[in-house]
Amino acid sequence: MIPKNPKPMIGMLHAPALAGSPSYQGGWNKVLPFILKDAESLTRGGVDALMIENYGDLPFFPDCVPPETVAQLAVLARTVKKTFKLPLGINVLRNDGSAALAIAKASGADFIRVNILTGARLTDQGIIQGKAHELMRFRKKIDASHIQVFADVAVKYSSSLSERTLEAEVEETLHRSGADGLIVSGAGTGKPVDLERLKTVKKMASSTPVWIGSGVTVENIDELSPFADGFIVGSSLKPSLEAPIEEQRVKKLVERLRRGRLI
Amino acid sequence: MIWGMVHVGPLPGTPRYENNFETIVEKAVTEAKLLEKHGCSGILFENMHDVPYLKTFVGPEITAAMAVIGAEIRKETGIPLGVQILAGANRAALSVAHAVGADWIRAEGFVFSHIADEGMIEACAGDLLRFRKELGANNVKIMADIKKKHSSHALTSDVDIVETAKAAEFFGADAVILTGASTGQKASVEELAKVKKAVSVPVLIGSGVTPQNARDYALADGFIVGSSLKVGGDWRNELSSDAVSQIVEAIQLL
Repeated sequence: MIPKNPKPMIGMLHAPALAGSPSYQGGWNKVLPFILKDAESLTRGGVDALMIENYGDLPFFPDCVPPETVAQLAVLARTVKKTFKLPLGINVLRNDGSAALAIAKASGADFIRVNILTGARLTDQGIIQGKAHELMRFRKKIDASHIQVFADVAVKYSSSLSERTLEAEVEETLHRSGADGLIVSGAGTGKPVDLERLKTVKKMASSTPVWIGSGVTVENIDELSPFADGFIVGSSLKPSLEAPIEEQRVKKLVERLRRGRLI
Repeated sequence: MIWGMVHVGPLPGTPRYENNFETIVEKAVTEAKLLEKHGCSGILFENMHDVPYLKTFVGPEITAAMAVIGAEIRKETGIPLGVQILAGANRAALSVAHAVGADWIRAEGFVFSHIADEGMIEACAGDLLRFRKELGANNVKIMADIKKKHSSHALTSDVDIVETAKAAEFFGADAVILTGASTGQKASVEELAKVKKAVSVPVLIGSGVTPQNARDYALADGFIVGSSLKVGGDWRNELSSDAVSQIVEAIQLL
């Protein structure tokens, strides 16, 4: 389940390009050790949960990913879950919530992230439509109702197709689509969130947890912390996006967050 | 080569699923270990209880579940591993085999076409072998059913089993499989002799082999056994270590 700690931190496991995707260089058997190493650095650094994502599979499919992606992520997720016992999330980019749920169910993971759960947005993959109606039925069908769905609100790398207020989007994501958590992100990976937007979402969300989904750093976590229930961190934990995670960076961020909590 | 079948329980999302996924995983692993211990030289796992089967494409819940089951079996056993995803979901099977480091897939509908109980199944070899190359999974071998069980072959009544076997070999199958009319039904001994003469890839018997009739198939290069591993010779029943030992001994005598 979601970590019990107040203000938990989810550390991202960015999978390198998987077989079948354009940047794959061969060597599937090297992917698992890479992921396990990152998971170890995150765990030792003190994160409360992990989330695995097919980050290397650029350019992403807008919706359904092919079976080779599902099979590879399932094997990675299962091994991570069995090895580290931390709560585990699955994000199948760009928006395959059903594959994420299927992988979570089979691997024993605890939550998924869905970039666009409801409405429609113009993204770098074209127009993506939310499929909450299918996803929530699928979750029930595969005996996965215990797996939580965290949904982005006005996700990074996309723009709205119509003039909607942030308030309306939050309302629909929560109450008409059934999200178990909300994620607020900046304009892109590593980009900070807009504080005013974060405050608005937090106010609207009432008891539903609000996660910050990009751009959390040692420098800004104190300022953001009062308006968030948890953090999803990835790029600030490594020198470049393709590099392995550095345990020291994780420790620093976790310490900064925990010190903030005590004040 | 003696391939022992692991018929995994009904998976999440299928009509007979009983909200017990982790139990299904454990049972599959237990059965695979038992097959290895009692002398099978390979393990073939299959979503046999997902009836009625989907045709050619399965949802991500099946691919993910089979990948996890395959990974757990691979971790606990040391003999060659094969995967089949019913019905004819050969891309999903290949994806799973690649991800878990399995050695073979069993493919239905590799060449020609037939009417199966799921409907019309069409040849997949061209697509499947290109996909295998894209994945960098050329080490995963394909055993192809020809004129397979549970199917009508009226469409290809002017193409005999020998021509079908040759076509499968020409299209890149690494082995061909002969079956009887349905699960547990015996394959034709005459067809085996004819096919053996016509192709150089291994010819496997894929149904109906029992300790009593194994000697009829001495010409075969391998056997896939399922029903005869179970109590009473019925695939729906529990695995029996005595039955496994008996069929393995009978085949080893050949």
